[in-house]
Amino acid sequence: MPKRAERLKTLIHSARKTADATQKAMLRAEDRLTELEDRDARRQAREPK
Amino acid sequence: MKTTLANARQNLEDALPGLSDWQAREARQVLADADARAKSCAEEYIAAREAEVRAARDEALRELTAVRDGMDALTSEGSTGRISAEDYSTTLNGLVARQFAAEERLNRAEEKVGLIEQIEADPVAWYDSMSQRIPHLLMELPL
Repeated sequence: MPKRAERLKTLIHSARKTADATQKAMLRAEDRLTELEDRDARRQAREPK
Repeated sequence: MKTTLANARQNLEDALPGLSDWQAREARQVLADADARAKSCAEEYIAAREAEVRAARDEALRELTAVRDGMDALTSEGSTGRISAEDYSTTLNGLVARQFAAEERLNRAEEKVGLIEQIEADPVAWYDSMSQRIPHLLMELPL
């Protein structure tokens, strides 16, 4: 019975949950970046040439 | 002669019909001792790999947590309107690079867990495979 491997798999699995949370945080941050880019583009468009 | 444990086991099986009970018992004991040495070696190897996996996993977890918090803080800062898209993007790219590096570390740790699982399932077979690659690990067995 591979007991050590099972224990380590559990540890890796818990770290993967944090990795998933980090990935979701990254997606939220990218959405915000898109908003900021749109905002900056609108500002530039409004500036007199 | 120097041989793998699988070969020694096969040699013993082949020789058994011609051996006395005492000789067979002695030969089995030699093989059992060799198996025990192989298992002990595998156990040491697993312990070392386990320590590496735990260290890598802990480091990856710390980094992923820090990156997650950093991304949340950056997202909040982005909503204040006080940061340019360019600066925001630069910071985000740095965080994403750290995220990928931490995930890669976790992937490598998981690969080692797979190896540990294989060795635990059959430590003697692992020892044999190692001794075929590293001949000085071959045991001197009278079988």
